[in-house]
Amino acid sequence: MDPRDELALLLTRRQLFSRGRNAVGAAALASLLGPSAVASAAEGEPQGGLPNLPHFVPQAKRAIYLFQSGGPSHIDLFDHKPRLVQEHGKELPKAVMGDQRVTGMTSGQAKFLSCGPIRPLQQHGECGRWISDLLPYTAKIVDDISLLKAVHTESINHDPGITAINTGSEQIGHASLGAWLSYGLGSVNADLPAYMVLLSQGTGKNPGQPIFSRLWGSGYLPSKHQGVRLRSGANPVLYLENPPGIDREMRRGQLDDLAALNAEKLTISGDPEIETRIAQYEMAFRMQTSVPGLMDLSDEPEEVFEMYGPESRQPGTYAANCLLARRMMERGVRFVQLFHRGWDQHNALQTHLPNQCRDTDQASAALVADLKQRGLLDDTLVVWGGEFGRTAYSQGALGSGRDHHGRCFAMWLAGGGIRPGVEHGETDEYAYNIVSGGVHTNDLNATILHCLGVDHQRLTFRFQGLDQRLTGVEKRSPIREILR
Amino acid sequence: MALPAAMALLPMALAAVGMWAGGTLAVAAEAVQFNRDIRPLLSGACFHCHGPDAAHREADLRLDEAAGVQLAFGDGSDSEAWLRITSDDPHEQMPPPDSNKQLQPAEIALVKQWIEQGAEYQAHWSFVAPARPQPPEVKQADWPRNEIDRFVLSRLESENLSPSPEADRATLARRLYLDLIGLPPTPDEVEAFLADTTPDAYQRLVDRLLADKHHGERMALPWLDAARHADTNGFSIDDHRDVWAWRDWVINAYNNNMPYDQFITEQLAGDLLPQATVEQRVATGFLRNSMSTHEGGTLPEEYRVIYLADKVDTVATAMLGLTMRCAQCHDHKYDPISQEEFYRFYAYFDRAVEHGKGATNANTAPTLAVEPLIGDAAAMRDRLQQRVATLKSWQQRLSDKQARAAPEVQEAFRSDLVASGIALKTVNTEIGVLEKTIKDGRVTAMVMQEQPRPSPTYLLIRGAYDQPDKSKPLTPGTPAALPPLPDDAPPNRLGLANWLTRPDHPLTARVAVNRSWQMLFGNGLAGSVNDFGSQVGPPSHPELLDWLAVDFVENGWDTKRLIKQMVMSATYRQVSSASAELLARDPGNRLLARGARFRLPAELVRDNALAISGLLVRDVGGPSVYPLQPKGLWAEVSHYGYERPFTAQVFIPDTGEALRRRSMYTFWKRTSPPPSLTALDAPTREVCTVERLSTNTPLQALVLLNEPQFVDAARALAAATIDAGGGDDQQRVAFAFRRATLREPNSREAAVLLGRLAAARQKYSEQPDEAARLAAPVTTEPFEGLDPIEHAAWTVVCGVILNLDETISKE
Repeated sequence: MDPRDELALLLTRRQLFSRGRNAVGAAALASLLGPSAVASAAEGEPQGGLPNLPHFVPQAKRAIYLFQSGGPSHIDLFDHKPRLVQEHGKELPKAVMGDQRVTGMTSGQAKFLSCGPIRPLQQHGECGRWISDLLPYTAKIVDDISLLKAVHTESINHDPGITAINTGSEQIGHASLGAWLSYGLGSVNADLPAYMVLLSQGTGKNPGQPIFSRLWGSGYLPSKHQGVRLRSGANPVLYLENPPGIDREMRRGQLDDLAALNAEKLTISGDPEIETRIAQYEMAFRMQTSVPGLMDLSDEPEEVFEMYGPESRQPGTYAANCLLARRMMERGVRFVQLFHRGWDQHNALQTHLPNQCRDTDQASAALVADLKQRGLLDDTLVVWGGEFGRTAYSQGALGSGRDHHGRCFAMWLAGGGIRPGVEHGETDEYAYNIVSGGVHTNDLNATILHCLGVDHQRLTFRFQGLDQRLTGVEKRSPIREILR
Repeated sequence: MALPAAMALLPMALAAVGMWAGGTLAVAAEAVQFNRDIRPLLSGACFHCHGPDAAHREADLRLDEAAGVQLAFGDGSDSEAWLRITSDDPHEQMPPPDSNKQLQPAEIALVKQWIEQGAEYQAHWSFVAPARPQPPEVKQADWPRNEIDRFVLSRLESENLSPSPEADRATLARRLYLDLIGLPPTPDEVEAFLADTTPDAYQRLVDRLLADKHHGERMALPWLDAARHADTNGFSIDDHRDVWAWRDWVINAYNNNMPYDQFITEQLAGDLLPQATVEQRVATGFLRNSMSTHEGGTLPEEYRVIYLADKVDTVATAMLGLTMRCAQCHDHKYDPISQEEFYRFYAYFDRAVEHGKGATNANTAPTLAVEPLIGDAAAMRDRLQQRVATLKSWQQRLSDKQARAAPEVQEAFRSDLVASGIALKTVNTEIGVLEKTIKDGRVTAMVMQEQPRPSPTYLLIRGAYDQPDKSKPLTPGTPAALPPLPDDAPPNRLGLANWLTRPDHPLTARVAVNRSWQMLFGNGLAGSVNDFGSQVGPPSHPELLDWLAVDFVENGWDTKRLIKQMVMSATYRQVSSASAELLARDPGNRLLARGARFRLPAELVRDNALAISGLLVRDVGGPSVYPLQPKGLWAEVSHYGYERPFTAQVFIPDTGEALRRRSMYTFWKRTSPPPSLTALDAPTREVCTVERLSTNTPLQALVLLNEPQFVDAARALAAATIDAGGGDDQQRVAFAFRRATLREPNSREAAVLLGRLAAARQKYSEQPDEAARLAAPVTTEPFEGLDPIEHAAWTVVCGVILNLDETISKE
């Protein structure tokens, strides 16, 4: 059915079944406004979402995606290659490089010198996972995470790369992962949007590569599924704050009037959109307290800030956003996505990459540990990673930087639905090509959906004659090896 | 969504199988039709393997063609296809169990009925040229005002429905203003219309609005979406481009009632017309509106292909209603468009100059320096100089150590970038770009231009830019399933335009007519506005669509005439309220038994508030403007550049009148579009969009309640109300209510608002500081001579009025 008709029918049905249409008077209005009186910040009944979802019992009820924008170096951080250390400074064998695409930034380079990691990697945890000394906190949670070492993408540049991993396609116009989740699963919190987005900028490369609203956009899905940005400052959600001189009581009075007048209109017009509008104004009113409540960290004890690191007290930082993400999980927000910029180390690798790690390592690990200690990790999925990795060869002088590398890169997942302490995928001795266990970015997306109880092949939306889906038309599958 | 859209529109066929909402099991009143009832089912369930895509076709069976349908379904109940779709054997069953496709029992019943009736095939309706149908006879002969109504009423009568009565005249006046110029009437204008009791008063109002200079602005809105018009390059760094000259061309074209065939010819091939004028070349900016990139590692050929494919997609969607994009990588799965045909269509654009790596902070060649098409160079200079003055004030603050420490500056640009000096460099860059345009007195437009010696076009294997099939150079051409090119069509974009505008083209006029209908009625007459292919059900009113399309072409593709025809109809003039029964029967109003009622498009929600409150600056055309948006939105996503900064990386609001122009002039940054507009369903303008799915969200409520300019509208309406609303509160409430809704409040409505006024007065007289805070405007000069307590109290009341569902809806 045409989504517009479907929506209209749904609304009409709701109206018809909830009460007689011409009975909208004071009593009906009261019932209409009823939910606001009982609404609380705690997780409640699902709101919105499709009737047949989830497709199966989900392992994760909600998810956090820590998106590391710019292309973190898998070689420096996760993929331990003794050969690369041995051959540091030697020409990367032509057979390894093959005839694959190289970006316009290094394709003209005279030499492609192998470049070992800028800091040693060491084994950690019971699983003995190799982790860079640049990530001492991540090293402590290796037994909780599942490391993918052979993720791959077709993209070799940022714009297509971040668009592909976040919307399933390099082509413009598709819906983002979060929008799909909002569309399919809806929210479990009546006072907060289903999909929230937080942005931050690291000190690795500042300013980092640009990011785009399409990364959290709704594409062809209805626009209400686009991610809602949560920002620091007086208006964490755009236009949340009342204008100067309008306090909460005055706003309540205005909304009562609006509800009464709109209900008056509803009796004449019968348009169910009016009823929806009344309800949406009420949700806006509730968001005016639920969002500041979410943002107010004064109820967090000292040890939490210590856990996430000193920057967690500073609004707008990655660390503060990680803490907010945990608070949103507690409140039942379906999907939170952090976009952290600055991972694009074409140059100044020796200083920028350590900076970038310092900005993010402690808080990323703290988030997993914190969710775990609160008993939330079992049904909360956490994903860490960027749009691609970086080359085994140096860009420019030896050790000064690395170019983009989509052939293989590393990401990690933890929590609901994920087997802890495992790794999956193997690359060659130069961390340049996949040897086994390759995971396409849309396999990853299928995995994320799977953890949330969604069959990626069955979550579709008819647009331009096609049943569009996040994972595209090629065959993609959840990564069974890392699933519980 | 198991049932195709068509079925919701086909109560008779559905009644036959007991699926209609009413649930009554009735005998089919008429025969099952292949196009209406069967094709959508086969397309959804079968075409994937038995359709146009040769590479994936199974058993060499093609169910989108007569021969294949005859082969599969021609043997009655012994037909192979029938046995397969009713089989329980997983090895026999069609569609195969692992295909994720299935036919519902009701659908199978329809197929059965169709087979029993002879399994007749019909060519896909939209690929067959429309013939002018005879408007049907109707029982209620006194209702129709023109032919449109006879088609609509005939359908209603067959459904045992009656049309709704005509809306009252004030509602009609408001409806016409909003639809034809996108602005509300003033109460005086409505009064004048009500006072005009001559029989042709309505028609004269229509004529006057069609001649209004704002008509072109209103008509341009959907076209700007379709043409993915925006002020930035879109990919990656997303710096600015100058494309407002093209926007002015569109407004002029609609205002001058340029025939639609000329409208699309000039946009596709204005440069190829004999003695092409500057305007005609500017028109080709339509094709240059593709996004572009200059990201560092870009491989230019990869992106050149992306831009060309975008042109195919845009022309196909906006002008043909076809989803040709599917055929970029493989034969189309559902519609008869092969991959080779995609690249022959693509070849039309492949002959033009197109740089894969775009220019920085400027338009990418080919460009044309032009004087403004609306207004003159002096007016343009004035506007740009005001902008430069605004930027220079920021330049000064950023250059001064003390001034740049101000929180306002830090927030707008990000403190680290203020400190590093990048922010200042960015502003300097913006100023430099504008000063060049001011000096030249001309702005550049991006235009199409043929290459002197174009390289051959090849099919790209799987759509990959680096895998051309060099065995076979392709000449430009159009899909074989559609009529051939005219004999004299040159093998270039002009030939393509000639083909599109041939009078018997089955798609061009239908798509255009449908888009206009959608603008006025909320839905198109076709099953979908973005796809006239086989995956979408047939039109709700196929004969009406065809009649309008033929009439449109035969009358010179006259767009104003078309719009007038629609708004003159009794169908258009119906009241938009609906009974519960009608709502349940036809929630989406596809049967047109009532008038359209929907929330205004994003741009018009804002324009309406500004107009009601008297704040709107009604200048037409010119450079884009920067109305207020929350600080830092661009800064948080931008790249800036380091030593060589980019434009459009940090948002600097305008000052003065530029803050209050119509929303269509708002500077559109594709990677961070205007948030108050996207909250209200405006698309990002990255790709061609011909439909906005309307949503209803709490974020919209926050925009309307709290966005500073909407609050300023309440302040201004309050000031006007105090100033001119009459002597007592009752009169004043009625005044403000009338300005927004164009009707008198009833006694209950007035009582609610008067109650709020009293409460607000009470509060603000106790808290005069709060009153002063509320009364102080953000985007206008302070209102002089008002008691802040009164002004604040009325601002509260006007805020309610401006947020009414009725105020933001077309009724």
